[in-house]
Amino acid sequence: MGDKQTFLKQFDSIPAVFPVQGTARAHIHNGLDFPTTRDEYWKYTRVNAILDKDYIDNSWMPSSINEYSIPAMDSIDIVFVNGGFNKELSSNASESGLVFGSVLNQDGENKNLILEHLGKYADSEKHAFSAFNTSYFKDGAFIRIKKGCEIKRPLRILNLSGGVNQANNLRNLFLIEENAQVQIIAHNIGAELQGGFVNVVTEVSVGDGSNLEYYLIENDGDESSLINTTHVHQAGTSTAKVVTLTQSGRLVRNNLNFDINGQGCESNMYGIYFTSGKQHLDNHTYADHRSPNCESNELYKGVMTERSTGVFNGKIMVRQEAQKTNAFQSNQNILLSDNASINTKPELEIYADDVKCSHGCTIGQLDDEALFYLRSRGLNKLEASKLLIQAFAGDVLEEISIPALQEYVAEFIHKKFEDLDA
Amino acid sequence: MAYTETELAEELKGKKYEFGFVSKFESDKAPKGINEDIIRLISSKKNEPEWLLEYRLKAFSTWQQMKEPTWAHVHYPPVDFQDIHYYSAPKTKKKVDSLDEVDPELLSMYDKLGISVEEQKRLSGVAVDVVVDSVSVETSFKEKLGELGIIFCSFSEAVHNHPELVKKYLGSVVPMNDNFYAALNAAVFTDGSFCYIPKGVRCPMELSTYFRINEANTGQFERTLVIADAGSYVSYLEGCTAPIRDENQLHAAVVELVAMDDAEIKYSTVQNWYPGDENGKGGIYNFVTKRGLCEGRNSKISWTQVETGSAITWKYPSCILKGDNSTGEFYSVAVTNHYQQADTGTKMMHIGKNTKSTIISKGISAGKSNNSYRGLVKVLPKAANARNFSQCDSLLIGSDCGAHTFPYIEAQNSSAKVEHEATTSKIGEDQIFYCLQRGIDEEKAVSLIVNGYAKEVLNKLPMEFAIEAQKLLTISLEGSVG
Repeated sequence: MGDKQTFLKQFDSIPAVFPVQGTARAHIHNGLDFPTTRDEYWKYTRVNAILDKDYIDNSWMPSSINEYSIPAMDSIDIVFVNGGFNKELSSNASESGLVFGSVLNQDGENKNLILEHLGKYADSEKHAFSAFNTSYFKDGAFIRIKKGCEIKRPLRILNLSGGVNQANNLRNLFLIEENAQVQIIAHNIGAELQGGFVNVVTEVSVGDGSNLEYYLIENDGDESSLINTTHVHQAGTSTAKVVTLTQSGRLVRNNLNFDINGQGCESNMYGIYFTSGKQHLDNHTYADHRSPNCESNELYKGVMTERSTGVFNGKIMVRQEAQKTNAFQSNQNILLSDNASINTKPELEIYADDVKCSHGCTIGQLDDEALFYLRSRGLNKLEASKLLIQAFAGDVLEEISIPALQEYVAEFIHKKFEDLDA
Repeated sequence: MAYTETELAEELKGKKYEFGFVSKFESDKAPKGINEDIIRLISSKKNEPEWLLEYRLKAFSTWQQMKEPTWAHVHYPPVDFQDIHYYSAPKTKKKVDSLDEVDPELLSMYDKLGISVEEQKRLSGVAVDVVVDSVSVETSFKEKLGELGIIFCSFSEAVHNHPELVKKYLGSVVPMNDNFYAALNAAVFTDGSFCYIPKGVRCPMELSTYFRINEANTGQFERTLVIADAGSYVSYLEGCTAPIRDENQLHAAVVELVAMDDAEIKYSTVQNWYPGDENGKGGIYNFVTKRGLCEGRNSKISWTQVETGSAITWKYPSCILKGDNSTGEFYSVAVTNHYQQADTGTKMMHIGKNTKSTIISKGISAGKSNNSYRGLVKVLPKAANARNFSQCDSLLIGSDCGAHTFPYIEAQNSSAKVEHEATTSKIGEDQIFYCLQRGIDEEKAVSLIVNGYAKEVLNKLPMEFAIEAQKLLTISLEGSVG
């Protein structure tokens, strides 16, 4: 592996705006090392390719964002290009109760909130990539939904990366106050990105009685690496749902952490992935039940083809005080090639007795009998397989409650399958 | 020199006075600590051939370069490896003249297990002539085994009488550099069992270490090697269902099984070593490496374990499914109470085509204990049509205990079908209520429910064992409710 200091040195010219950035720099420059496959939580994922590269800051700029839109979606957009906020391309948000802008451009009350919450949930002491992000992020989205407000249109954070060997650190902060409601889409696109590295950290605080839906669409291109870390801190009787769709990426690592802190919380995690080529996709989730009477649901489904590899590690932690927890976790995989592989590890760590927890995972392939049934009714093999894959993905698709987005994901699966067959 | 079965039978007959052999050795206990000299001493005391000494020394130098594993979900003060007698004669219990002198707590436990008075005397080391009886029973069994060509003897005997078999298979399934404790065992193992079932022979009885004198005292570093040649079958029972108060703190045993074409090995363990008292003081550290190799086509290895003892358990009986169509099974009940900690599970390595494995693990935690299942199911690229089903259930009794599941599943073949499911819950209040309503008190109700919960695994044990194991479950969980 390349030298850590040489790697970090490339970013030292980025100014440290917030005090947490200085602290994180001290951590990452001194004791904290990037993970290797000897670390239990990085056992199947090698990050050498990310660390060995020389990065340059490209001046790439798109003229419009039309080609990066989701068809039929009426969203309020905020645009970041290579980690920096772009006001011209972003929409104007005029909804009452909504603050939707860049982390750097806030002042007054909002700035104080940022100072209070930034770095509170993401751990920069133990996790090197989070510390790296905290140290060198240029900007990120700041979303605040004020008490009791409901935002009708989905908010979209468009994180565009372009150019050769571009490295981006984006840092988002969402504060969903009491009894508020919102849908957020984080849309990552590597447009003309070659050999880039995108490192996103998102911190979310969900207040009592509020409802958050958060969708991650990851499409950074087949030559790029993405590390996407999300921390959701839930209070009170809130409901949060995170759905992750991975479309492309040479190396993708998703870290999704739920901190379940209030009584009566509901936490939902869904994921869908369809890997091909030499893709390596690693989904890590962690549901930390710290309060009684909460419920968490998790369902990750994926198809692995060609030479791709998939990793799933889901952990449910139920602490001693978290009695009456209901936690469910499921990971289902279809392997369509002998060169593809899947490593899955669903974990339970339970210290309370009055709980109902279960997890399951399966690895299999398309059912021959089902294929035969469909083919005997006149469908060709491709159509029959496509239908089965759609049915397989169906229960995750159903969880996407924005119709345009659901359609977009269904279309992606459809198309991916056809491309593979061709 | 060729060794005949008659000679073996003769020799086995002569084994009945081994108790004398023990007291003779007690005086020449080696000093504490481990080094090359100690290993040479062990080897020379046992009059071992040169190749075995070399094997031990090599293992020792490997061990020195290894680090104690820390990944298991258990916590305990570090073991001082220089503070152990690596060569002491197998420990004998103080001989007493009648049961009146035996710890009454131990006796009441025997009663609950339904062990006969004679048996109780034997277990508590009361010097009675009943031993002679059991030896004669033993000898007649051994004659029968000898007729079939089955070799069943202590490891040391096997080294002298069947060096070619030992040399061929020792370390073939668990290599000396496999892990820290396996390396330690390879360097200093003192004795153990050796079993060879010839081609096409179906062993007519359950082979049990119980029948081999001194077995309960073989000590800390036991080495077991079971080889089932083509088309043979053997069911092997290990352990003792009585709560033996062993004084050794660290146990690092190695068990190797080899099954050739169409052979089947069924290996059952009931482990009830001293778990420490209700404050977590004392107790055995049980760090065992058990692995079976399904070498041949259509071979089958089945592990069944009931683990109720030991303060710390670190044990993963595994199957390497190398032969095509081979089958691996793992059935486990692990109970922890008070401050016990268990980290146990299995590994199923699918290498051959059409290999199948089943894992049924039932964990029960009570008191302040922690019980973890840790398992690996790995399907290698060539293992077409591999099939695995795993089920890991945990039952929690009381709010201070923990139950954990760490399954690793790695599939590299597109025709593999792997399923894993796990649940964690407590005994339902409605279930307890139902029992109470019918006049069954709470303690009995818990025992009833727990036994029902573990039934799937207990059913896999040979009958006599199953009954005792059921009683053990009840005893282990005593006082955990109410």
